[in-house]
Order: sequence, then C-alpha cells, then structure tokens
Amino acid sequence: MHRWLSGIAGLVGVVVFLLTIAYGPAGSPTPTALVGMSPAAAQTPTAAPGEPFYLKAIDHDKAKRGGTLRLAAHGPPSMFDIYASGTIANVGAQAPMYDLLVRMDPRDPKLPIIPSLATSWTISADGMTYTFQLRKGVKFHDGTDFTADDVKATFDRIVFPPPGLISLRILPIKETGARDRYTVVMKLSEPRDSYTFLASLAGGWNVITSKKALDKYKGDLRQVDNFPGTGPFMYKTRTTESWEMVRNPNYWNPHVPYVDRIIQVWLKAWTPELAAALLGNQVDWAMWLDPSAYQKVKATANMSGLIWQAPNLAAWIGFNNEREPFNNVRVRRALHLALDQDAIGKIVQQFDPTVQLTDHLPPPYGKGYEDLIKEHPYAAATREKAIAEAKRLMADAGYANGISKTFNFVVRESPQNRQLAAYAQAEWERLLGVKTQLEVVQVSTMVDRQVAGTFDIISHAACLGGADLSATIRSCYSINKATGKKADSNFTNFRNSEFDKVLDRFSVEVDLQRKIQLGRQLNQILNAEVPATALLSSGRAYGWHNYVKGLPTVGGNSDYNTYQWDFVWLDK
Amino acid sequence: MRTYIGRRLLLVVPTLLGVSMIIFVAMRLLPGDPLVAVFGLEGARRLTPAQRANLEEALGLRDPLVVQYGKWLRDIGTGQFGKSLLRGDSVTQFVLRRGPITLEIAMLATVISWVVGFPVGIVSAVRPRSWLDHAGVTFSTLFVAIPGFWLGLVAVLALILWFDYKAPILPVHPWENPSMNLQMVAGPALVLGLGFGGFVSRMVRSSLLEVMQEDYVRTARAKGVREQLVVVRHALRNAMLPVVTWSGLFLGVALGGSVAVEKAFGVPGLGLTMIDAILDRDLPVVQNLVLLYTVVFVVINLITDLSYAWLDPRIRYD
Amino acid sequence: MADQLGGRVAPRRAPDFPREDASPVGAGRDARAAGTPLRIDRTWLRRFARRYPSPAVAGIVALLLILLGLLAPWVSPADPLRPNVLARAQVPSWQHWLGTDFIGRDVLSRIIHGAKWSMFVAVTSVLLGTTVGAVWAVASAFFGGTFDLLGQRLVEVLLSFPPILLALLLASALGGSTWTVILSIAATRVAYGTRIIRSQALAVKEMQYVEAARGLGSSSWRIIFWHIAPQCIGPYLVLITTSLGIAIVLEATLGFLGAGIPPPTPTWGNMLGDAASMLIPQWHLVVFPGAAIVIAVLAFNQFGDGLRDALDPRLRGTNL
Repeated sequence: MHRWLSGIAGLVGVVVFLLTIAYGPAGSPTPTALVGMSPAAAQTPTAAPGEPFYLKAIDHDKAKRGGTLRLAAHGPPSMFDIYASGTIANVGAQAPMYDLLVRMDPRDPKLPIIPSLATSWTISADGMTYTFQLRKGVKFHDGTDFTADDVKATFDRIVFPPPGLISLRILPIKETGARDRYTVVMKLSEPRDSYTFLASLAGGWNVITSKKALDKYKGDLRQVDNFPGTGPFMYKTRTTESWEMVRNPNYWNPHVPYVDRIIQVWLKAWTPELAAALLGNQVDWAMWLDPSAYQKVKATANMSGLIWQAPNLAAWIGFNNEREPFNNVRVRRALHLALDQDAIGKIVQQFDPTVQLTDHLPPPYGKGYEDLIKEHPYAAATREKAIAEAKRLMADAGYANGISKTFNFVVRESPQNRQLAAYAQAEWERLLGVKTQLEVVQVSTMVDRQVAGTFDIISHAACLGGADLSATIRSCYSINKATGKKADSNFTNFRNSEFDKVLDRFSVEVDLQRKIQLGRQLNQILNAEVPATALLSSGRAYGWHNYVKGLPTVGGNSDYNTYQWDFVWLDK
Repeated sequence: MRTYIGRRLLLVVPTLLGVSMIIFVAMRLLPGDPLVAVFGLEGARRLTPAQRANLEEALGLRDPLVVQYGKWLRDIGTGQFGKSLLRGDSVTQFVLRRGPITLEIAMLATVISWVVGFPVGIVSAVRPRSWLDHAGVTFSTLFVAIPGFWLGLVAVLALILWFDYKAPILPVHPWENPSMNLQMVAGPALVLGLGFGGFVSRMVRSSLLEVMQEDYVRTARAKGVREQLVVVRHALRNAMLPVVTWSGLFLGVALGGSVAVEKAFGVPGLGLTMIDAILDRDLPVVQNLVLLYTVVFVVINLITDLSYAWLDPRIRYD
Repeated sequence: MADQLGGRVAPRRAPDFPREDASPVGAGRDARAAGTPLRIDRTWLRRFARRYPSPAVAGIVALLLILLGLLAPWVSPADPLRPNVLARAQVPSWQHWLGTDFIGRDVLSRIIHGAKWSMFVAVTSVLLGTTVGAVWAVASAFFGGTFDLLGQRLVEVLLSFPPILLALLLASALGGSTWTVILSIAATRVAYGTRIIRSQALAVKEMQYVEAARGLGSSSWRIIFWHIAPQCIGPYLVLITTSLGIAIVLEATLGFLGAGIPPPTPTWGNMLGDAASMLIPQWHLVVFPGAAIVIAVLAFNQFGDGLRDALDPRLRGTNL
C-alpha cells in the first residue's frame, strides 16, 4: 500500500509542478512600418567652405566619454577578406577599424549620404564621372599617410579582383584614377542615379585600406585579421569568444569616438543565448532577436528595441521554373494562390519578429504591407475565392485530380523554414493534390543543390539586397551578362526576355518618376509570372540598454552601413 | 596482473585507430560544401569552378581519401589539431577555452550524484519496504527515465517565467569569476547529477542489500556491534566498489553525453561546440573534437577496468 | 540518463548452471520433448505478474502505448499534419486539449502519432541492433579464433563512442530520414548486445550436454540452434526491453538536436526541438512531449527491470 501511495504522491507532485508553469507569452509582435531606401537626391554637404564635415553624436553636448561598449555580433568571421565576403560576420566585426569613402548618416533613418574620407564631390553633367576631394592629414593605424592612391588601390581590388580572388561587390565603375594626392576620379561603366551610386559606394564592405597592404598581401586578406585602416577603433585582441578594439587616439574626427573600447561577442542570430546575453546584461546591444526576446526587451523598463526592414528581395519558396510542371505558369500561380500568404508571414513571425508579407519588389515599385493586406485580407471569404481560382488553374493545366509524382522540396535548416515548409506541404496536398517530400539541408548543401538545379521546390535560398536595387534584381531574376547563364542568385531559374529588357532600362534610368514606372512594370511581370511564392520581407530586430545613447529609435541602423560605433556613447 | 595491464594498454591502440577510421568515414560522408562555411552562401555561389578547385586543393579536400586520413593522423601526432572552417579559430583554442567548463560540469555532476544517490540508497537499504524506501525507489526510477535535456528545458523555462532569470551565457572560468561560473554550470551539473544519482541510489541499495546478507555482517551483528557501525564499517565499504567504478565511467560519459544538456541550457561548453560544428559541417572541428571525446572515454574506461581488476582479484577477464 | 551507460559486463562470480525454467519461452528438456525449441508458457506470465506487480503494470502500460501508436490514425482527435494558422501556438483549451503548435496543428494528435513513430523507431532499431549483435555474438563465441578476436576489437571500438555521439555522427552523415535514424540508433545497440550474449553463449558452450551432443556427431548448426541459442533468449529479451527506453531517449535527443526524422513527421524529439528555438518557449510545447517520453521510458524500464529480475538477476548492473 505504501509503495503505491508514495509512487502516486511522487507522480502527482511532478504533474502539479509542471502544470503550474505559467502560460507563455502569446501572439507575435507587429513589425513597424517598412523603412525602405528612398531614392532621394544625393546631398552635397553644406558645411562652411574650408571646414570639412565631422560626424557627431545626436546630443553631442551632453555626451559622456569613456567606457566599454559590449556588442552582440553574429560571427565570428571565417576569414578576414572583407571584399570577398557577403556576411555580416565580416562587415559587422571589422568595420569599426576602417572608414568608407562616403557614408550613410547613421543617425538619420532616411540615410542621406555624408562625407567620410571624401570631404566633397562633384558629378559630371552626364552623370558618368564623379570627382572626390579627399580629407587631408589622415593616417592609417600603422602610421602611413592616406592618399588617393589608397582609394584607387582599394577600388581596383573591389571592381577588378586579381585572378584567384573574388569580390562580392557589384559596382558599375569602369575606372578609378588618382588625379593628384587628394583627388580621386571615378568613371562609371553605365549610368546610375546619383543616390544609388553613392549609396552603393557607401556599402559597409567597401572599406578603404592602404595600397601598401594590398600590395604586400597581393590582395588576399583572408588570413589577415588586422590589415590597416583609418577607422575610429584599433585592433586589440581576438579570441574564440570575442573581438576587442580600442579607441584610436589619432582619429581624423576629433569629436569621436566617445567610448574607449568595444568588445564584440560572438552570438548567433535568433538563439536563446543571444537574447539571454542581452537581457542578462552581458552585452549592451544586440540585433537579430527572436520574437519572445524582442517582446521582453520592449516590455523591460530600461531597454529599447526597434525593427528595421532589410532591402532584400522577398521570395522564400522558389519553384524550379525549368522543371515540369513548374514551367507552366498556371501551375505556379495555383500553388501560389493555395497558400494564405499573410498566414505565412504570421507563421514565420513567431520566430523572427521582423517578417511580414510583401510584394516582389519593395515600395515604391511594389505595394507595402498595408496595401497588400487589403488585397489578401486574412478572412475566409477571400481565401475561398483564391482556392477556387487555384483549383481552376490546375484543371486548366490538366491536373484537375492532382499530380501523382512526389516532388522534392529542399528546405534550408532553420526553425522558421521547417514550419513554413510543413505548412506549404500540407496545404498543397490537401487543396491541390500536389505531394512533396521535405528534405532539410544545411546551408552548405544549399549551394550545391541550387547551382546544380537539383530540386523541384526550394526554400529559402535568399536573395540579399544592397544599395543598388537593380543589381540585386538582376542577380535574383535575370542572367549574368558576361556568361549568358542564369545569375548567381537566380535560384528559380527564371528567364523572361521582356523582364530583362525592362531591367536594363531600369538600371540606367536617372529620372525618378520614370524609374518608378519601370520598377512597377518589373513588379507586375513578377506578379504575373510567379517564379516564387511566400513573399516575405525580413529585417532585424534590435535591442539595447537605455544607457547606450546616440542610436536612432526609428529606422537607422541600416543594412551594414553604420557599424563604426563612433557616434554612440554610454551614459554610465 | 602485469600481463593483464600490458594487454589492456596494447589493445587501446587498435581501438583508437578503429575509432579514428569510423569518424573519418562519417565525416567524408557528410553532405555539404565546406567552402560555404568559409565564404558564406553568396560567396560560395559566386565561385567559378577554377576558383573552387584551387580552394579545395588548398584545404586538402582533393587528395585521395587514404592520403587525407594519413595527413589527419600525422597532424594529430604533431599536435596540430586543425582550424575551424567557420571561425578561423583553432580547435586547441576551443578546447582550452570551453573544455574546462564541460569538465567542470562532469565533475560537479558526479559529486552531486554521490551526494544525492548515496544517502537515498543507504536509507532505502537499511529500511527496506518502508515508505522511505518506496520514496527512494520512486525517485531513482523517475530520474533514470527523465531525459536530461528535457529536465533542462523545463528548468530553464521555470526559471525564466517565475524568477525572470537566465544564466550567464559567455564562458567564464571559475578562476575568473566564481559566482558567475557557478551559475552557469549549476543547471547542467544538477540535471546530469540527478539523473545519475538515481542510478547510483539503485546500485547502492541493491549492492548494500546483497552485502548485508553476507556472513561477516551477520557475525558483526551477532557480536553486538551497533547497526550503524555494521553498515558503515563493513557493508558500505564493499558495496561502494561497483559504485565508484561506475562513477569513473560516468565521468567519461558525462563528458560526451552531456551534449544535449548543454544545448538545452545554452552553456558554452565543448558539447555545444561539437553540435554546432556537426550541424554546420565544420569538418576539422568535428573530426578532432569527436576524436578527443572518444579518446577521453577510452582512457577512462581503461583506468576503470584496471582499477576494478586491481580492487577485485576475481575479475580478470579477456 | 539511461542512454549512456551499459555494456560493461563484469560478472561478480563465474556463471552458474543456467536455470532451465528461467524463461517464458520454454527451453531445455520440455521443449525438445515437444519437438520445438521454443514454446510460450502462460503460467509463467501469471507467476511473473504475481511476484512483480509493479513491472507487470509497467508492461501493460508499455503495451498500451504500443497499441496507441498502432491505432493512432483512429484514436487521435485531429490530423496531426493539418495546419490551422488562425489557431497557432495556443495553450490547452477545450478544442485542443494539449494546445496547438506553431502552425496550428493539434498537439495531442501529434503526441499520439509521435507515439507511433517513437515506438516504431525504438522497436525497430533495438530489434535490429540487438539481433545483429546477438547473432554476431553467438557466431563469435562458437567459432572463436581470429574471427572472435577481431570481432571483439570492433566491439571495443563501437563501445568507445558515447552513444549519442555515435548516433549523431551517423545520422548527420547519412542524412535525415527515418531509416538513417533507425540505423544510427541500432548501431549503438549492437555492441552492448554482443558483449552480454557472447558471455552467455560461451558459458553454454562449455556445458557438458553440448560436449555430449558434439561427441554424438551433431553438426555445428544443430548445436547452435538447439542448444546455445535457446539459452541466450533470456538475456536477449532482457536486453531488448531494457534498451527500448534508451532508444526512445536517443531518438528524442536526435530530434531535439535537429538531426532526427525530417518534418512534418511528429516525433516527441522533433516537437521538443521546435519548441526550444526561442528564448521563452511555449510551455505546453515543452511539457507534454517530454512527459510522453518520461512515461514511455518509465514503462519500458520498469518492465525490463522486472523481466530481468525474473529471468536472470545476474544481468543486473550490466545494462542499467
């Protein structure tokens, strides 16, 4: 008898303990309005003549000096050649040690272009030649002087990488020349509107290093974690866990930086460890928070958070447009309509609070979330119509009773992709009789599959953006002009000659209104052809403690452009 | 005895070779492009076939398999334990930085298992079929059945929801900041320790029960020795033998098998490093860390076998 | 905890004469008289239930779980794969007794189907691994010589891996699918089976009646099939039942780490892995799959322990 009693008592105790765990936070946060990149006119600095522009913190007069800023960084980088990198692991970690030629103002959500190593610039009448005046008296951390030769060497490395080395930047520069010691002339290979071109120059990977270093290492900086820069911080130490940098006492901008040290701690995106480090006060600032962490940050009294949308192109599930039956636009449209696109956004929002439904191209070329939601309202009536339309399209294509073959659905490993793919799979089978088999792969396998085209459906191959939207669109949906084959990130094998022609005109259009028209045309073609579905934009969810001052509270902190940390101070 | 030791030591060599072969083959079977680890998805996509061939050549991935295996063994022999593809840090740095934490967890877990298991087992054995015994048996069967990582998940959830508390995340060694270090290792150590504690208590109970029926214990009781003394002096010492040797084994197992618990708590130990490396296809790290774990396991097994044979001369088996 | 130790066979005494009535699958004289080597004994079951009530109850629970898994499509209240995004991540309610997951699938249905998958993977992998190990062990013991020597070295190698590490390595290398998970877990069971069965088979080999049979001119196969194998059934059964709990935990761990059966298949480990991906997991997604694991492992462990005590207490301490 005793045996049963004590056994039951034990079990009851355990069950009571488990059941008294409180309900977890429900629902998911709504992302703030999209902050895209507006093609505003380039801003020539309005500082007094003879006085170059110096960046200062937002409330510079109240700013305190000193202290250590601890940042959560997604990393570490696997190699240090920032020109060959496409990841935040490089640009986030290394940027504080360097400067750019021109820069986006990190304090202003509209991201106007401000001078950095270039103090002013003029543009020729035809928009094809840019002349930059460089700052005088700047020194690299190793003591050498900064001159136009260094700018030329850097951009030659970027635009014309030596054989055997790669560069991931697509800059429309035909030639960079050093007219004299402090003047650089860039000739474009094709027309660009000025903001787009300057914004692409201001991309965070285009850090300026010395000709001496590039010559010494023959352009291969993969193993060099400390190649010289002119930046506000200098290399101190790097361990398996973190990277430490100290203030540059001889920085050319006498007002900055405010803090003495920055320590970047390697923490992976969306992991509980990242959130715990921020909330547990082991780091002062973090990005890539998961939704529950972001909510907790917003709910915590002395912490702030913000969401920013990245200028990536939205397409999370791609069809292999070259394979049967996905080469039939009716089938693609049917599969697209069968999925509740807004629901998809809400599924993924449970893991990444920045995700939401979007159009193929960002506004003003495509529609924003508020407009889209009126077309795909999250209500039963519209879903029924969409599903009926999808079934009709499948019947038209000859698949009224579904398809007997089971398709291969390659899914990139991540919690959100797993859920998204399971949802798509279930709905396609239930509504249209299209069967798929999920294959979850690591990122390293994605490349093989995507390049070789050995998949029927793929998620999420990603199409990352940058300042130059036309280059991104070309990379995602067009052909590589040099080889004539599909472009690097064209994971759907989409080919449409009309699209290519419009894209060519869009890239070189300098008039804003005409550019918007052409962009809208591109968006319409994509909406009609549906090379991919699950159109979701994503961004970053940031969080920081309120003693970190100088950060903009709306937008700003944009895509890899501002991580020099020179305009931030600690109120401690 | 000496031949036994000699034989056992000699057998370690082919065992380790076999282990290394299995690891190597498994690693080569792993699908995935190691260059993605180096350049990222976008970068790896942009590589031309010629660049790819050059880079793979430089990483030694184009050599015939036998050559790659030989190079790996040679590197280990000369103390070069490779560099991570993903992180540019060497495996040695990982082991030095994160190894002590995993080791600490394993040792603390073993101590906790004794502290919990022995009293429960002893009480169960000296008061058989009482409610204490039943409670003890319930405790041990329960904790043997609960997966450590789930207990960890529940503990983390409870701590966050009730106490708004999350343990420190960055590796902190006990000589750097003892209180933070303790906070970090307490959770995994407790979970592992309780699990093994259940096992220990069962073993203590059953071997005590058996020993207490032996003749010499009956003699001691007949002589009028106090029950407590009987238990502690005579019975316990003999009953401890299997438990102590099992604990040695557990130490080795905790080092390797605690990977899931480390992941559940997010503790930055070697286990978590290894999981991440396997999932990221970071070949050099996986190869060398898994080999390290199995070497430690083999060594501990060896010591356990030898000490068992030494302590109990009846055991000499081949 | 149960998954990592075991296989360290260290008999405290030399093996005794094996008890011929020690198995529900009757062996020995009665069996040969009946013309078959094996025969199920109902009275044995009744005696077992009376002497070991708690393991008997556990055995019934285990059987119920297996039944639940087999009948899953009929028993579960909803389709475990059907998403309902409007009702995602809900805590337990009257419509969904255990709540819903990230895309609105019913957790109770997923746990019931999870029973099916977890049982299937556990039973198949344990049967596969233990049988391969047992066959290898009998052959090794019987034929001896270099085959035995080399075989035992391979067993040593396999035993040098902490089981979860071996399973994780194999599952990642072979890619994620049901059969690779089964193979990976089976691989960890082979070595444990071999050790124990081999020592049993060796003991039987030295028995007088086997020598007599050999003297009478029985072929090797007859000796193995009629004499050695039946005596190994007992330890084999014990191994299987005690390994089931370990296999369930191994599968759950693989699923939790992301190397298990791919989505959308509901297994208890997968569900825990999905739940653990954010800072503050949903409590109902953590508690219920885990409780299912605990109940299943408890049931199989208790039953296995009882069976082992009944059949051959000497096996205690060998496989947890």
